[in-house]
Amino acid sequence: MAASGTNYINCEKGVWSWLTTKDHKRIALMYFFAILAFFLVGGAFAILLRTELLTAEPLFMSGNTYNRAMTLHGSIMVFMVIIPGIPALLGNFALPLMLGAKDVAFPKINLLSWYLLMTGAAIAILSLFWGGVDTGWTFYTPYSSKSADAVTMVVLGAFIMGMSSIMTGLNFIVTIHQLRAPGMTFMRMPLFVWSLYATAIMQILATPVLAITLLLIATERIFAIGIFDPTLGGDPVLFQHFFWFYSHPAVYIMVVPAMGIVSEVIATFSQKTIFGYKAIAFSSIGIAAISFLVWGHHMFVSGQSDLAGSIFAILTMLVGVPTAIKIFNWVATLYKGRIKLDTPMIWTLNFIANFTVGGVTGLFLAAFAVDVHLHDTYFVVAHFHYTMLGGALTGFFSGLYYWFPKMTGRMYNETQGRIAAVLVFIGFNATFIPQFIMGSQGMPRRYHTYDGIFAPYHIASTIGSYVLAAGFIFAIYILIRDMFKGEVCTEKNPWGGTTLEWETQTPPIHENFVEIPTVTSRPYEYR
Amino acid sequence: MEKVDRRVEHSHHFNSMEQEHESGKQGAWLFMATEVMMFGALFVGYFLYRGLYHDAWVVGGELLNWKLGATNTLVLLLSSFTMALAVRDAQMGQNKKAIAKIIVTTLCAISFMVVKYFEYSGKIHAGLFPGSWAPIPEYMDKINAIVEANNLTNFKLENLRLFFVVYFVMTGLHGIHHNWYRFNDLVVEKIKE
Amino acid sequence: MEKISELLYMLFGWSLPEQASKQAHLVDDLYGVVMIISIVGFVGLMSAMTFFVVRYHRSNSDKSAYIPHNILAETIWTVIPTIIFLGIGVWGLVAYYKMNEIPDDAYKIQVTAKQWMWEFTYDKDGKEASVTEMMYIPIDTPILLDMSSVDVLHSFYVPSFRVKRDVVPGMRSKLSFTATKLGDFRLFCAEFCGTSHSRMRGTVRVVSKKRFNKWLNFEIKEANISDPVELGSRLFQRKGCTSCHSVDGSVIIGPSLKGIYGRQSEMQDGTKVLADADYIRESILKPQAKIVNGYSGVKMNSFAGQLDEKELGYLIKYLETLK
Repeated sequence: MAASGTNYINCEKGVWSWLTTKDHKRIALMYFFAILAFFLVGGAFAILLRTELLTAEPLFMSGNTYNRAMTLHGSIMVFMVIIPGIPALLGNFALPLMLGAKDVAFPKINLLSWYLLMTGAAIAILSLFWGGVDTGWTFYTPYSSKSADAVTMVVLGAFIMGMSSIMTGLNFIVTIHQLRAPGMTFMRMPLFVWSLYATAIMQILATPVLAITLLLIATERIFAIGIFDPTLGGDPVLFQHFFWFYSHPAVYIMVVPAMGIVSEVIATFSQKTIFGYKAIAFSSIGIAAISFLVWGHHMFVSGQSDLAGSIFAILTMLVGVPTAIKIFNWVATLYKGRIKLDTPMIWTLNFIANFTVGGVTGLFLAAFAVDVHLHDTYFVVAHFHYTMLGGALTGFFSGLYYWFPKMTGRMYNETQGRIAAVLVFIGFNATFIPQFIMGSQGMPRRYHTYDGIFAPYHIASTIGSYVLAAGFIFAIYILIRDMFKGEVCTEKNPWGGTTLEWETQTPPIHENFVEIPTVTSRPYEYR
Repeated sequence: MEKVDRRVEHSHHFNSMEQEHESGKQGAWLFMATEVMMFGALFVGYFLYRGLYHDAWVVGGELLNWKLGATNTLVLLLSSFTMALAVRDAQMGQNKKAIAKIIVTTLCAISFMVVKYFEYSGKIHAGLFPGSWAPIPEYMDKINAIVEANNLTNFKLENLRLFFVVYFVMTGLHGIHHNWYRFNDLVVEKIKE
Repeated sequence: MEKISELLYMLFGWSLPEQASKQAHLVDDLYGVVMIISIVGFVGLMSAMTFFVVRYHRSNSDKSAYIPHNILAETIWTVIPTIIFLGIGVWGLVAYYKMNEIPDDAYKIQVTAKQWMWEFTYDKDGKEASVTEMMYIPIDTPILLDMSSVDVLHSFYVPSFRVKRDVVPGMRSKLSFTATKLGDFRLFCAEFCGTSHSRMRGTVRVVSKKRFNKWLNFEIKEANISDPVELGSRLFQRKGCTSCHSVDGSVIIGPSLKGIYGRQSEMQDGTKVLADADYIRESILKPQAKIVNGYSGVKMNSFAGQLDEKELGYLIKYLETLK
């Protein structure tokens, strides 16, 4: 790839040197190819679904096929793309560099994390050959205990991928505690590091509960014992409590790192100090803490007690506050800056627009009475795509383009990069705005066939999805093509960033720094 | 006595052996936190159902063999003790003593599994394994006797089955965990040697 | 208050179903207010963002200002959102509790959800009637649904009433509402339940109280008929026998069944057969076994699998009475 001198990419040759590497940067690249491949697979399922939904009656899929495609789209995107996406890929690459460290605390465990993700993913995808899974990515009981499909396989795959996530989180916490450069106090850490820290805390505390939940499903299916079986006095709703206790923090595991990237990109491409550093740093921790207290808002109509629902409703309103603060602080950072609309910045501005929509639609859903009408409709589907796709995934691509030169020693084509970003933005909104409307009108989710009155919205959404797909395929194509054929970039700091990764060679040497720098101030000091 | 680390060089990405040790310890504690969360979820389930179906829990408790359970508890405590002592011996360079203690720990693990085998097979033969639930007449008599003796008006047989679901899942997972880590320890020791 | 409700629905009702229940406006009012707050917030933020990006683009901005924080601004945009969010939260709670008030005199209907259909059981004076797919209810009457599932999770959702509640096996869920408009309203299953989840739909038909009582009396009577002959007569109609067999002697397609019981008939192959219970049963389950002379070109379909033993018994009892 890069032409200049020795760097982490060319210092050792051969596939074996990659598969046994303990270099966080090489591991990051391996995650890069894997995660983008998973994204394309998950996206293919999405396009199949949207195409099937062009007509109210079945077009080319049976009910079972649709349900399996729907489940795999969700499971792949959640477990194989967005949860590992930023921490395992961009976090792995940038964290040690940003801290002025030579690697993460436990490099061998880092490699293990990669293998765990690959193994879990392989098992999950192999399940396709055993018929796939049709329960929805949420695996609600009793259906998941009884469904004839390969639930146990997918659940086992998810279990193993969960272990990968826990290992990454553990690694990052110890790295942040122990390997900061001299002079780097917590209050001088970059905001991306803060976001990874908050994410890691959620990863290690929440994911084990998912592990147990998945294990219980598998045990029920293999041994037919029935902990959630109502005929024994078991409670199917207990499953939902266990599941969402993890899965709510999980959504913040997905989006908080993206917010960290937005902080970095906004400061760098405004050439201005970030507004409200402390507020943004602490809000990440605040979101992590409160995220453990709100899981019941997924269960307002499930049959949980009204008292529980009420408590969850109020706590959910609180978790919106730190998020809102971030958005205001980012916009305030733009004020009197020197803004350049390069590709990473366009993705980041798209994040802010999309995530604001995602956030306010969350208000609708958190309002107890309104959720009764909107729960399990397309309104919810649109809400979480705005936060996960329009938010987390958009932040992910912002980061990919931002650190691209540092990672590869080459520059991507700027004009094409911008076009791809705009295409995705247009396609994304065209896909999901109709979904908000039909959701409010009562269109339920996970429906293979639907009532004809919703047809215009489905058709509009599908057309949008084709534009979205084209945009993402183009965006990924640019990254991969220019990784090998892009203009060589040897500049240490092409963007004018202020964090430590921009003070080292492009691409970095294996040891990251010739000499570990000493830090004397917070980053983002553009004076 | 000072502790001796047999390795001379710390890993390249750390500043010192001390930093490496400190990191290792932190990592271990964080891992403990994940274990707490994992088993914690099961305990929540246990206590929830215990509250809902207290009578079935009373019967279930009386059907378990407390002698075998107590034995296994002592075995586990002993093995933790010998393992910790083994680590100390290794740190002080007393390899022979360390190996001896590791052997004791391993013997403890094996006896744990033997006792478990007796516990489980007893329950399974009695027809109390939830997957193939069919309590034999002898046990049905026992159950009825306990219900009578304690005047358990809310007892339902299905709830007892749920008790055994929780029992087998929690103790089974516990047992697997022990073996997994014992296995890991042995493999790691072998590699180090 | 009502004026504001109407105004909100006028603004945003295009994105909502019609309001066909007493409690719909409780949802829609809050929905409208949150919509207004969202639009104001979103437009405000996006305007600021766009303006800043244009005004402070690198091409017309030489130096960036150094503004690490501003206590006043940060306090304002922490406190105000908190108040607004908590306000929405409390309103949501109050509206929810109002929606779920169950009057003592609510009319109770039992709902059973199963893969993949809805069954509604009505009770009158101790007698029950169950219907599927369509739930009749009287207008302006508080209804209480007592729901459970026989297999997996389902969810009872009527968008026009703004009601939804999961239907859980092993548990009874309650849902109450009062319909305020006549008509047919869509019922959806809103919790994924397997292959035909999207076809697990139904209709709630809201009728006048008079018509409801008439319908209910009819259904209760139908469901509680015990006279076998009457039941047989209904089966004779419902299963389509009358399209080919008359009961007055005339020939439609197949032989008339007037006086069939005990009748001697000549078969195609010349044998003579006495029409007793066994013969009738065989003719229904295996029509081609014995064909009456003169009806060789006509093929009757078998009803095997469509009638159980009990029903065959009722039909035979009925046919016995056709003299």
